[in-house]
Parts: sequence; C-alpha cells; structure tokens
Amino acid sequence: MEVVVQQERRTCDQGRDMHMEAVIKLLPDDVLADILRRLPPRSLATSRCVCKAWHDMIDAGQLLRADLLPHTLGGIFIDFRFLQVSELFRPSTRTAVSGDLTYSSANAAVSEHCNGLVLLPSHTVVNPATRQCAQLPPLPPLPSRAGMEDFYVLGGDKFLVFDPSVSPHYEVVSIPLVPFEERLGRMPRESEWPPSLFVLPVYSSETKRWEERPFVRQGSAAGTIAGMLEEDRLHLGVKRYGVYLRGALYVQIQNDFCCRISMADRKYRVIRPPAGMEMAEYPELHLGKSGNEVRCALVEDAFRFLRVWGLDESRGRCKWALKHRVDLRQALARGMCRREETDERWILENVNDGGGGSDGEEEGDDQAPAKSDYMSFLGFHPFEDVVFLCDTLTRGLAYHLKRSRLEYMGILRPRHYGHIAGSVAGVNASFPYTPCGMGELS
Amino acid sequence: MATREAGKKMIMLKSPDGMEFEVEEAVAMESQTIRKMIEDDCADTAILIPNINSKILSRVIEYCNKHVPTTGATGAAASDTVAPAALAEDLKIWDAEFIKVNRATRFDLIQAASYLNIKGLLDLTSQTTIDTISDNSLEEIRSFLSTKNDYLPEEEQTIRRENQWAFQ
Repeated sequence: MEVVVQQERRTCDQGRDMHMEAVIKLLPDDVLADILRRLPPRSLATSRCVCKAWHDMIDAGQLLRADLLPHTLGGIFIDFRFLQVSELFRPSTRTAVSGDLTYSSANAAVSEHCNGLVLLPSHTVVNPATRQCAQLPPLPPLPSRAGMEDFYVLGGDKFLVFDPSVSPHYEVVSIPLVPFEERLGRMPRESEWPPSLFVLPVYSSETKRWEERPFVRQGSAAGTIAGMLEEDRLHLGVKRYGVYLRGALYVQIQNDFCCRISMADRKYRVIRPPAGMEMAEYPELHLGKSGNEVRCALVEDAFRFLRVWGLDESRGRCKWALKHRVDLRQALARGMCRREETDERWILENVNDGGGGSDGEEEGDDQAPAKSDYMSFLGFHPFEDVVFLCDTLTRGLAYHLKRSRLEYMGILRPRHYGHIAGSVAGVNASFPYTPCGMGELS
Repeated sequence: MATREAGKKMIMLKSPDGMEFEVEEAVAMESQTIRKMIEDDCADTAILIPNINSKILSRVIEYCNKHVPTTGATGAAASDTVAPAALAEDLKIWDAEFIKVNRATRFDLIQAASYLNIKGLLDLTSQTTIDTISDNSLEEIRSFLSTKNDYLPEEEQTIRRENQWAFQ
C-alpha cells in the first residue's frame, strides 16, 4: 500500500501558473517566516523593501523592533575626577534610562561606550537600558603579548565593538600603547609603531573567549617606538576614545594619531593628526561620531576656540578635514537660548550623592557660573550637527554648528563637587549615550 | 515487510520519479512528518514523497542517517566510546561539507526539510539564506531569491524612508 503525502499548497493549477508561482515563491511562506524571524534589524529593514509579501510578513509579526535600537540620545555619561561613579547628565522629562550603574560594579566609572553598551574599568560590560551585565574574563597571556606586557598593562585601552542592528554579539578590542622607556620589553626603539602586522587581542561575546587577530597595515606607520616616547605629549592616563561605525573601529592611539581598524577584512590604517594640532596648548583631541561621519574636536587657545574636523573617507582617503572653527567667547557673549525643540531642562542624577537630580538650587539658579573660566568638550551629538560643551564644570551647553547657536541645557555640576575634588576638579571622560534595548548579556 | 536485521524495521520511501529508498524506520522518523504518519498508522511499508525528487531525497536520507541518534532503544552503532563534544564537532564538520551545494539544490533542500519537518536540516539549510540576506543589497537579495519587486518606485522609497538608518 502506498500513502501519498498530501501537498500543503496546491492552490494553483498545473501548467504555467504553477511554474510562475514556483519561481516567485521559491520558499514556502512558513519557511520564509522562519528565516525572517532570525534576521538582524538592518536586514529586516532591507527585507521589508524586497516585495509586498515580505513587508507584510515582517510587519504582521512585528519582527523589526527599531524602537529598541540605539537611535536616540539618552544623555551623556560623565566621569568626573575623584568621583567613584560616572554621572548621567540627561533630559529631565523624558522617560529616561537611569545612569546609576552601581548594581553592576563597585567602580562604576564608564570607560567606554558603544551603541548602548558601556564598559567599566572592572571589565564589566553593562547595558544600562536592560540593566544586564557581563564580566569579561581577564586578558590571557597570548603569544603576541609576550615581552610586551607593559604595552597593555600601563596604557592599553579596551574598546567596544557593538552594532545591534547587525548582530546581537559584541566584541572588545584591546589596543596596546607604547609605555615608558624602561618598560619597552622586547621591542627595539627603532621599530615601527604600530607594527605592519598589528596583532590585537579581541574578546568575542559569541565565543566568550579572547583570541588574537592580526590586522595588516595599509599605508605608513605613525612613526617609531622612539618617536612615540619623545613626542608623547599626552600622558598615558589621558582618555583615548573609540568609535565604531560601518564595520570599522576608529581609535585614538598616541600623539594625536588614530587608527581605522576594519574588523571584517582584518586591515588597518593610521590616520595622521589634523593639521595645526601642534599649535594647541593642552591638546586633548576628542574622537566621536555625528550621523555617518567620524569626527574629532579640540578646545584650544586657553579654551577660547573649538575646532571640529570630519574624517574624509571619500575615494579611499582617510584624512581629517577642518569643518568648523568656533570662537567660544564670542558665542557666549552672544547669549544663549533653551533647547529649542523640546525646551526641556537636563539634569545630573547625582548618583555619587544619593541621587535626586541637580535642581540648580545649590549652585544658584542663575544658570551661569560666577565667571566663565574654561570650556571643556563633552562629546558629539550622535545624530545632529551639535556638540556638547561644559562651561567651567557647571553648565551643560549645546552648540549648533550649522546655526552657530549656543543653547543652555542645565546644570551638570555634581552636588558638593567643589568640596570633594577641590582644585583637581575636572572631567576624565564623557560619552553621549544612546540606549539600546537589544543584545542579551550573560 | 522489509527487514534487514533483527530489531530494525525498514521503511520504503519513494520519490515521484520512481526511485525507491529503503531506510531504517528510526532514520525516516527524523522527519516529523513521516514520524506522525507512522505513529498514526497511516504508513505501511512504502511512502510516496511527492515533490521531492530522488536526487534531493537521497541527500535528505543521507542527512538523516548521519543525524539519527546513535544510542537508544534500537541500539544502532554504539558510540559510547566517543565523547559527546567530539561527536558534536564531527557533526558540525560533516554539516559544513554537506551544505556545500549550489543554490537550486539548497532551496530544494530547504523545501524538503520544511515539508518533511526536519528541524536540524531546516536550520542548516536556511542559515546560508539568512547569511545571504544579511550580507547583500536589496537587488542582490531579490535576484538570489528570484523574488519579484511588486512595489512602485515611490512606494519603495516610502518604505525605505521608514528605516532610513538601515540604508546609510
């Protein structure tokens, strides 16, 4: 006896229609639905445009959750000198994600941020939006590190690579830095830096392991190890920033050089410092991104001028181009307005002092410090042509680069900060934070 | 009833192009569709599998043969001496080789896996499609999956704009 298994979809008649149907629908609907369900957000967004059937299937199943992606600005994490925990300076009215990370680690000072994930010095990765944490295993003694241990211990920086629109997994890349003269280990002073084959320890949340990945340099090195030693105007302790954009990690190395590390094709390039950097008295180049552009900024000339560069990556170039030069004193003198779009005040959460938010009372609600002494750079607005500044560690300001307009955001001085930090008050690092509801941490 | 060895019930699978495949019942039951038929007693000894040609059916049987649990009531090919991790690694390598087929064959395998309800094979065969959709542009996806674009240009623009971030 033979049993004929019933065909599930025999809606079409034999012949030409059947053939057409087969060509158009190579995959049965349920198989297609199953495939779509497993796609990352970016691919789902593309798939919605493939044809109407795909669009309807994705929307009916609510498969694309763009609302969970890091597409909004949730505030700015600020790591103040002498404070244990980073503070989140954020809009007061919006249903905001709390920046209180004390549940994750005793030392909750944010040292890196990428698309909604933050990295703490205890090597804890935290998602403040989901309040999930993951502890990285210690960097193992990989062969490439032998004899170069101090390149990682004394100055090595770790950077997050995370794009939830492409993958729920993240990576952490450790970038060695040339340490002090007496700690060079096996590295001869005259060798190129970074080396033509830059072997970097990379942690993958998918494999939960550190591994070594070689990146081949394209173009010339930044210089020699000796050069890094002599010219290193930046102390090893100065914050170096990283940006992850379109599959490439951009990181600051030494002497205002940056690297563009292409994660997929295992290549990297050195980006020379912007022209005119040497003029700066206290060069602290701040790397970041706005929209689809990698940028860097510098506050110079006794905090009077702000210069902003954009990275020109057209036609295989990789070069800083000056975009804006802002006279901050003039801008301050012109006066400022409230954040136009929302008219909402930003507050500091004051986690270090039991919370409650800064209401400006202690500082006096006059919105201005007694005297505008200096401006520090807080970061780039991730989606708008705006930079964030801080006036004399008191007022948070937003400067519209295109409209040349300064906006007052709110008081960001931590409560009792003057008593705690005294003359060493300052900002170690700051990160515009984009909350993300995706990516399970475990 | 075809019985090759004592304790091993054999089943005949027939493809529409007339080929017959004699397989162990346990192997055939890797397919949930066939399992249900056997359990519901609607199958005797021969099952015609429509729409899956002999070439694809033989590959599906090959997959099931490899993936049928080797320890169990039937006591087939004992693997007590092999560590489970090593076994899993071996299967992964085997799968990677198995899936090195052309596009048409892969779609046939996806359809077969879906129709016969073999989860492991469906996962394996659709992963390549998932990767393809993830790694390619809109036009490439359409051409790869032979999907016809039924949008008007302005409709497509609107839908694109709804998620502009994905196209930058």
